[in-house]
Amino acid sequence: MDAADVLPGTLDVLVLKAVSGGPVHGFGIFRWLERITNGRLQVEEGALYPALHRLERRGWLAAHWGISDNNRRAKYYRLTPRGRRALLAETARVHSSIAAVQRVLAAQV
Amino acid sequence: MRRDLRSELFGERLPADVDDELAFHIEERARALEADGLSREDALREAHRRFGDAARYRRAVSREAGRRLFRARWVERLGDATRDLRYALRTLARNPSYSLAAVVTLALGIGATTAVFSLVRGILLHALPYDHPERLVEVYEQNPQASIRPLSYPTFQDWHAGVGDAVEGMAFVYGIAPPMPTPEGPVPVLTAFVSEGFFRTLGVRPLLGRLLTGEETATEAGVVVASYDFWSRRLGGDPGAIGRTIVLDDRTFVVIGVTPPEVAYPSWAQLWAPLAALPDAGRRALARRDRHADAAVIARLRPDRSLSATRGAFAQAAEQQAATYPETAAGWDVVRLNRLRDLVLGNAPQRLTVLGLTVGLVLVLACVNVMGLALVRVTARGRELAVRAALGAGRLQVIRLLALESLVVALAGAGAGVCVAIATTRYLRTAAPTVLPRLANVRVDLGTLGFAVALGILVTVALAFGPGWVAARGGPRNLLGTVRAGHADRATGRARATLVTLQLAVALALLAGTGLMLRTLSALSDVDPGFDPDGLLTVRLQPPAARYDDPARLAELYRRVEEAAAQVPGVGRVALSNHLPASGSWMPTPIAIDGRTSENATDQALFRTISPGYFATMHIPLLSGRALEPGDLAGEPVAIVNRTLAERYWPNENPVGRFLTVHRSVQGRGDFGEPLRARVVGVVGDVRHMGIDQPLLPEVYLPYTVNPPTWIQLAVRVPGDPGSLIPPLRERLRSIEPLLPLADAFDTLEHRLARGRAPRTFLAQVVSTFALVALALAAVGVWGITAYSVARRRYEIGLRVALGADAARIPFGIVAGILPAIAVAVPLGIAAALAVGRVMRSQLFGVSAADPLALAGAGAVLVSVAILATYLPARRAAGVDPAEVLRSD
Repeated sequence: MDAADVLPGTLDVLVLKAVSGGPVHGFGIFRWLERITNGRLQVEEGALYPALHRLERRGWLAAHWGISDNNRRAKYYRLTPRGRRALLAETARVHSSIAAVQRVLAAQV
Repeated sequence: MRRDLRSELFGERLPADVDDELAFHIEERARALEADGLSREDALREAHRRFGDAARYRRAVSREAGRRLFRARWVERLGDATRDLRYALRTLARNPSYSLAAVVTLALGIGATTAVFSLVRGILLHALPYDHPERLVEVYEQNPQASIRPLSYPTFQDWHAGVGDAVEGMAFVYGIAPPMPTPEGPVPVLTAFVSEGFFRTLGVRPLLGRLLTGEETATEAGVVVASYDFWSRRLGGDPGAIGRTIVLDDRTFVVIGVTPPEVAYPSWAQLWAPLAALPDAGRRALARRDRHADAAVIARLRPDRSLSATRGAFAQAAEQQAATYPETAAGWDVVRLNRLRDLVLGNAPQRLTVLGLTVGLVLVLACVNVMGLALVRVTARGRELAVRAALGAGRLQVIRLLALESLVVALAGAGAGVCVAIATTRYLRTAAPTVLPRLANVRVDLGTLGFAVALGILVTVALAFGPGWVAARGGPRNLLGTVRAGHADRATGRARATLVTLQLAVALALLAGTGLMLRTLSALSDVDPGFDPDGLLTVRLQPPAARYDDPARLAELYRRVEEAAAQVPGVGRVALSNHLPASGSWMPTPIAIDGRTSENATDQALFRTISPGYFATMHIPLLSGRALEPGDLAGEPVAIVNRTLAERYWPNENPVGRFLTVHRSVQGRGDFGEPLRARVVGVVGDVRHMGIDQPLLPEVYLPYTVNPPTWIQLAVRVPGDPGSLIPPLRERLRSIEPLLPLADAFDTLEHRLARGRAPRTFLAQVVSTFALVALALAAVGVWGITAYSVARRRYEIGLRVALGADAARIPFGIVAGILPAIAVAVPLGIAAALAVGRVMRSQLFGVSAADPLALAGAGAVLVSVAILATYLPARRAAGVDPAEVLRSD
């Protein structure tokens, strides 16, 4: 199995996790996710942006315009304190739901 | 175009930023692919493929970003408003005396206005509890003198058949008050015996149980419908009261239903019973065509027929009746239809108009006063506002700042005003029941609250665009200039003078209104009632009709009661009469004079029956002839007439020894209406029988034995406190006839007269209270403006004194400064006072609406108060030590 769809409802928590390391632009977030998953993440790159803006509106991310490594104007995102709390909560939620799925699949029928 | 607008709206180049962000991603991806060895062209294509549908993502992102920015903008605006509000609150807190004065003044104005609004809403706007109450009318016969009388039952039957379906319904009501036994002794219960279709005509649904059926009204069924009031007081408000029995005059009735509150037709009705169940005495009276008392006829107009069209349908029946029965109906050939609404409301619309006008003026005055206070503050804060203006705050922003302060003040005033309104309505409900009807409907609720808040906002607008405009006018240069020059800005000075003029004018109008009410009260107290009401106790005696059906027995009971009452220690003279003055009861009789040819059916007098001691007991002067003597009770019929009757029928002659014919006018007697020829033996002074403010009427006094009434009034002259004699009298009367209902029978004539005066006394109190408030506000306004202006002129005054001006003359110069305002305010106030007088006219008595004395008095009081309010601060200013003033500045 070399490709994986993003589990429904988990894109937000993946983005929060990616941003938690410090200010980063959208492309940087995607590159990080690619690297961590060894490129097995199957998602259209554009789908990242509605998620980013939704999180920004919700107040979990804050954004500012900065200059990228290769000297171009880029929008950088970072976690707000509320975003950090949301990341913890979401992580726990995803863990428990995955654990539940695994337990079901491992069970004797 | 659209993009520009959005950018401007949200303060951020929104779509461009979204495009930049997405483009950056694709560009970075392409560069990464290029670094992996793809050609530029392939790299770009691959980057676009991986990105997906860019247009769709762009729309989704834009939507999210738009929402975010929109919200951010509102948060910012709210923040601005909160900051301004906090600033306004801080400013107000720093000036507690201003804030308190403004809030209290507005609370008074808004509270009084709101209270009157709730009165108007409850009394005038709240619908009567009937189906389409506007279609209900009372039906009367009218004669050429515009007197009216209710129909007799035979007439009602003729007319009912005559008009057919020209009305939707029509019903006859006959009232008696049979005694009902209660633990406190027998109590008379006002019962309406109604013809078929009464409740359908009235348009009422029962609260409990059911109403009378057609079958019941046609038979003698012993059933009654209770009014809400009777149900709650006598049946304990018990929902299970349906089916219970009550005893009226020894007959048992079953309660079959209860009407909703406020259903009261006729207004006195406590119970409704079928007309066929009327006791025998009543039924005998009902059969008579000349019986026009204790009855009422109500009709419901058809929706497609106007009042005048309906009157036309009745006219024919009336003319026919007058032609067929000339002996009872000649002259009574006009039909009068009175709307039920007018009957219920009575004088309330006029009284409420007076109240509304008064509180409206007070509200205007309160606004003007607060405006004046605000204006002084604007001037005092000139430097702050000027700096704001100089730093670029627009006129609207300065106004907004001041408006926010005004809003805080006005809403606080409205809040406190609601408390004032609650207290006022509570007071009015207990104080004014004889003055205004339907007070039970008056309550302070959400509608009232909304009204108060709306008034508060209105006041805010007035306050903001008065002083705010003045302050912002002319921009920073003007404001800064004001401060530097150290004297009042001309615009604010003029504005303040205008406000003071307005205050004085309003105060003058209210003072004149007070003058009119005081003159009315004094005119009323100058009226000679014709008897001495002091120390007169009255007792209403209503023997059970079933036991005293025989006139001789009734007369004997009355004689024994009179005798027994006179023996109670402490009682002075005692007398009987069918109707006492100011009791609201009377009975007209046609009158014919021997030797006079111009007899017609409209010659009328009040039919009075009395015992021999009556004139002496009431202190009614005997003008000629003699009073009634004990021998007259059984002998040849004699009559005594009042002065008005004597002068009308025997001008310049002595009526003693002449004969007149009246008709026996006593409820329920078999000989009701039969002519009685009597010799006049005396003339007595006039009595204001219908009330102090009512015209004098001809009266004929006859011995009560000519036709003993089914109920009678006992008048007892008491030297001291009438109340102390009630227990022994009750005891004594009960020993004569234990079934006499005496629970609510006692009253004093002084009380009755006071009840007649109550509406005017009440209005006088209200108007004069507000006039005093208005005068005080105006005085404070004048005092304030003077104190303020002399404070600013301290230096100038000091200089003048130092240069040798006569210090004693300086105050007069300052007082002269207020004269122009007075000169404008007085004619303005008089014009307003004339308008106030016109509105009050229906409530005045013995004084014209443009009474010169009231106007002059009001003017004099106003001018002296205004001058005094100027002189006091002026004198203090002139008393300063010039050396000190000149050194300090």
